[in-house]
Amino acid sequence: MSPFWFVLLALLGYGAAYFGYARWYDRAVWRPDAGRTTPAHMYMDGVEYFPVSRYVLWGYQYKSVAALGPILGPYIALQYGWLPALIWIIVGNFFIGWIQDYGSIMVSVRSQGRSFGPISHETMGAGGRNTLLGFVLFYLLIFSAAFIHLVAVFWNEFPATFWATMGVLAAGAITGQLLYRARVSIVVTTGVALVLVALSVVLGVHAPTPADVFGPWTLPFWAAVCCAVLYVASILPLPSFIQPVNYVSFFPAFLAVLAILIGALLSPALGVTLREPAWKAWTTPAAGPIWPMMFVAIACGAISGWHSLVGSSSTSRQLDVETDARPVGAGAMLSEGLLALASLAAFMVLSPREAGGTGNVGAWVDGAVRLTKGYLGGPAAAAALKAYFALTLVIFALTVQALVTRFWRLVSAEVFQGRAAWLGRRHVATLVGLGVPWLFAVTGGWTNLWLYFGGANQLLAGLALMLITIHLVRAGSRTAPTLWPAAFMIVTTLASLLIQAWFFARAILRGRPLVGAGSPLGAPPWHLAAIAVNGAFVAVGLALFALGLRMAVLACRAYVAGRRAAGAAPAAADD
Amino acid sequence: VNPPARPVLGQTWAQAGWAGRARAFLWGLFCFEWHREVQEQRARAGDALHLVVFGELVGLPLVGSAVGLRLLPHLYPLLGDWRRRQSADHDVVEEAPHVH
Repeated sequence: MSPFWFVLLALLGYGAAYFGYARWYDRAVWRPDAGRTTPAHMYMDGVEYFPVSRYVLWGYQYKSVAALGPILGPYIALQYGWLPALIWIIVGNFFIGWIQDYGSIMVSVRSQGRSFGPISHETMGAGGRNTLLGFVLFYLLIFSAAFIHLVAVFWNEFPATFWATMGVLAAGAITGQLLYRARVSIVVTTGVALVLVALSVVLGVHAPTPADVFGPWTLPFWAAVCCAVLYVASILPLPSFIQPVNYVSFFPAFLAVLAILIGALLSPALGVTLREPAWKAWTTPAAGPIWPMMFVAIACGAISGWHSLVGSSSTSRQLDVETDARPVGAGAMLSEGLLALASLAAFMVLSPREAGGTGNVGAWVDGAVRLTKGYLGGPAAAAALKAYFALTLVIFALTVQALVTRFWRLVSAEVFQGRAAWLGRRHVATLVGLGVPWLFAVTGGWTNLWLYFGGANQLLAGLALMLITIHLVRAGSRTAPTLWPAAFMIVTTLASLLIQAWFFARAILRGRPLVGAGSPLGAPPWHLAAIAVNGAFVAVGLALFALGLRMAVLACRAYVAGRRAAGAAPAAADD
Repeated sequence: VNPPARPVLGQTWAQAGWAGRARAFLWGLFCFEWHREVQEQRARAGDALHLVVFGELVGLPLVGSAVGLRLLPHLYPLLGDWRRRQSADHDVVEEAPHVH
């Protein structure tokens, strides 16, 4: 069997979701009205609020939601076999994923373009909004730890990527100078930038860094280098560095995703077949039981809480007419499902031995090379393709993380205002926002970090679904299509956070800290430090659980109150 | 780079065809985020200018009213948006879309 068939299956499934279920949901629940004025027109200022076409917004929404989540998440899910992962990506997106993205946009549009912060304040009071902020703070810590760990692993595992990454960063900085200082046209600048990116890959291939250069301390070293780069990136003004780097980076990243998808579709002709078994086990020692762990491992491909923040804070303010919400929200999310499936394909074409067991998430690169080399130059191009795909992983992680660090700083300033205001200061917040994740990154194994991140991310999705449900119940509309997915996501993610916290607590009780494979912190005398960090992991997990549970309780109360107030007669969600 | 808000003046998307739609999608994919950032930075600089010149309208007389009055005809069209942005509720969560 080749990956072509399940990509085809996904296309059919997502087609049915978009043209069948989404159309019904649109008519039965939200009843969008093309004649109703949207916030983009109501408050048009050309800055925050202005209407753009649904095709532009679809592209923007897709770019905003597609990153490493759908690419790497399937790796952990594969520990249970590819069949459950495939089912979750298709069915999860069909019934839950796009509904959350679409609903987030519509709730904000019907609330004068307000984001989830003010909406949670309105529905759940000040406590709800503050809990959301606290939750976001812990979520960002785990997010940062997972991504710093990934960059460190990739730089060590793929020696061609470090100098290639530096080349891309330099290309971005040059792009910014050409555009803002020299006032060169965007077309010429983009051409120059793409040539520089291509040269960066060549540089990386010809100037590889030595592998395991500091022995067991190599990973902490690369993580520290990553933090130093992120510090500079998040301190510099946005237009000087991160903004042009993001622009330049997305071209190779998007082309890589496209190349894999084409490779999956051409797989019957190229003779690439699936080598992973469809089913492996109900539970694994590293990740735990299939429920709830698989449902949080594939973050983004099936559903992601981050999307609700994007949809409610940005996309909703550019929506031209309400009827565009379905192509934008549902269209972008279902497209992202295809990205997750293409990534799953990249893992599935490797045998379990080639994939290297747990921890070798870089197997995605080998799978991507296998899927694409048949039509992109053959075996002779394998080394360059490997460097290229590995580079896309690094720049995906690095560019996102630079912005996460900036976001952490802003949230810190908001949360710590008052007596602990010094924690929100620019350099202090940045140092904390990188130092703590560095500590987590060098001790926690990739699987554990990712499952924590996935749990927090998917819990955010469950809470977003509850906010959508509360809006719908207040408007007297149908709530079942969002209420049941919300309940499923909240219960699943809270359970996953508890299980992960228990894994760390159990490691402490046994005196054998949970650390990444080959980490120097696993052996005396450093194991005591690792046990202390494991304790911090337990605390973070329990904090996420407690904050999430509080949000869920507040949301349930608001839902019940809304149901009592709404009356009996169902109507459209058009208050 | 300005957004292709409409395919071509006077045309519908159906008349613009798939090429027009693909162009709009790709512009949204690669350029729209940067376009928004640039607009926001320009607005921030403009807001600072408004605050200096017309600060007395919000209780901050930073520059003499004579200067403000001379600049008023040039800046008047932007005053409404400035006032709305200053008085709007801003939540830190709204910064989330800039991550990615």
